[in-house]
Amino acid sequence: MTDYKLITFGDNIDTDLIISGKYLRSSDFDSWKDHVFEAIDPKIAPKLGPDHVIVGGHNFGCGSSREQATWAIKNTGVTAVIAKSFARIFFRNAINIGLKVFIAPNHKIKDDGGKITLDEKGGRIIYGKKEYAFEPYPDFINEIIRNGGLMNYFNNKKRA
Amino acid sequence: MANIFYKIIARNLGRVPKKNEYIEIDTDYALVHDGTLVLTRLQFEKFNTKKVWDKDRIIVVFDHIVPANNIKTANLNNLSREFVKKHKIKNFFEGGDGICHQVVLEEGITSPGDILMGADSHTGTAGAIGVMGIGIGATDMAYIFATGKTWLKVVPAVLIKYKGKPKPGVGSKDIIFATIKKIGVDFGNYKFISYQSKDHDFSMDDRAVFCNLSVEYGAKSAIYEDAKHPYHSDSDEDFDEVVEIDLAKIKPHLVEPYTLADVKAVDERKKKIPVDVVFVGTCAGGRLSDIEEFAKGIKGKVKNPGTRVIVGPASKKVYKDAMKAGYFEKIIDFGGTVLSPGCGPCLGLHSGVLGDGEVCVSTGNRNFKGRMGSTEAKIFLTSPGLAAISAVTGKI
Repeated sequence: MTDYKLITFGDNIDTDLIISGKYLRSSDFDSWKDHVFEAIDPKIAPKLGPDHVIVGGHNFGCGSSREQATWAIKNTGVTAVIAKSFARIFFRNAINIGLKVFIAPNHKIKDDGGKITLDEKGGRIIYGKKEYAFEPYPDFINEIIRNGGLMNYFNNKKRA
Repeated sequence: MANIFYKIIARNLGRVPKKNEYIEIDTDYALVHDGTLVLTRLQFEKFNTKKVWDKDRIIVVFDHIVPANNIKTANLNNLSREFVKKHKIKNFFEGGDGICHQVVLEEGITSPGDILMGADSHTGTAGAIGVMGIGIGATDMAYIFATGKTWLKVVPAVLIKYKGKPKPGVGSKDIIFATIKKIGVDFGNYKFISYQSKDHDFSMDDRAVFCNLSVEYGAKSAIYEDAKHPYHSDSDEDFDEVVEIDLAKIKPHLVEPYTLADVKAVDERKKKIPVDVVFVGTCAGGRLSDIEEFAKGIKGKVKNPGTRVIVGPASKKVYKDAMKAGYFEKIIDFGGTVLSPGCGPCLGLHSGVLGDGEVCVSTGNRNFKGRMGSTEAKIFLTSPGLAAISAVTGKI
């Protein structure tokens, strides 16, 4: 169990807010992280790192299918994204590229400068005196997660 | 007894699926465009495989940034063209052929009952011709390129049942905006959506608008059911929920900035603001009937001098048909610009990027902050008829 700093967002954070269309055309997977959430506040990107967890509301990642939205978040090094719900393409993209995403449908986490504790093995987060359980994933999604994404899942399976 | 989605999945899977189970399916067709092919290609090359699973089941359409807007795009597009050549992909459509979703509707490559996986969120538009279209990202698509397979969750299915006939002046945009207002902008998340309309037969263009905009309220896939197609839902009982909507009660609607959660009836909008740009185009509003509605709306009228008008036909076929019908001549004489077929300025990268503080009236499907350029710009989504009024009055 580790403590993390928080960046919180409301409902319906769309992929244009996560990474603007003008940055998409690149084959450099590391190029998007510096512009993540820029349309919300350009000061967010430089703050993010492994000591942070992103917390969203409902329908996080709605809109376009752009996988760059998940790469932009992943390559900042943030440990995980927790949301009340994820838009379906964003969720698939995150699992596929090995960005940790957790669904905590009833969380009431606010950005009050506090920290949260992430208990991945126990499938929960602890925030102040409250605890929120994550929705469990089916076995084969856990298998993709264990392999670190869809590519390794495929290549490891082929090798086996 | 099953709904149309479970029947289409059953055809693929060899058995009727159970609700909420996860399944692996064989992709009938895979759709990518110049935008998502960049990452799909790079990811595919990391997979431990050399050949694509089936070169004849991949459809590549260049529509997002064509003709190229800068050297970087031009070089990336050329790498994608090399990929198409190397893998002998025959269903390749160059820049100017049209928006991928319209190309799917027009070209007859897919058939009703097929499962079309597309590396674009609006792949669900194919539901207008009875194809189950599902949007995915680049790595998912690369996996399909390698294996032909993908995983799906068999989500619940909802029937949206339209009754009666729409009032004159109420079109598919008004109907779908009013529908989203009623059900909510995340209603379709993790759901299949079927549309049925017994009393009013909607045109192909209208069906495409319903299925396209379904994505905006989260639908995994949407199909407009047609008795002429081989697959149909058996009864209302086969759905987890039925939403009945009386078409006769629907008024004209529009979407205010910055999301589809901001739908309003047009008569609720009291304060009017100046409009800098009117854009008629995209996979949601660049079809022949849209251009026709706009051209008829401006007929015999004078454009507001401070308002620019950009029209982007959704495909080469739409382009030619609109030209033959004389709509472009009207639009050009009115003072508008006609783009080559493609996505146009909807993605905020070329052909009419919005500057700080600009207000745009668009017949597209997204008005997110920064979508068409500056984060300080505002986008209103409307029907083509309302866009024509804005072009004349310069207000929304």
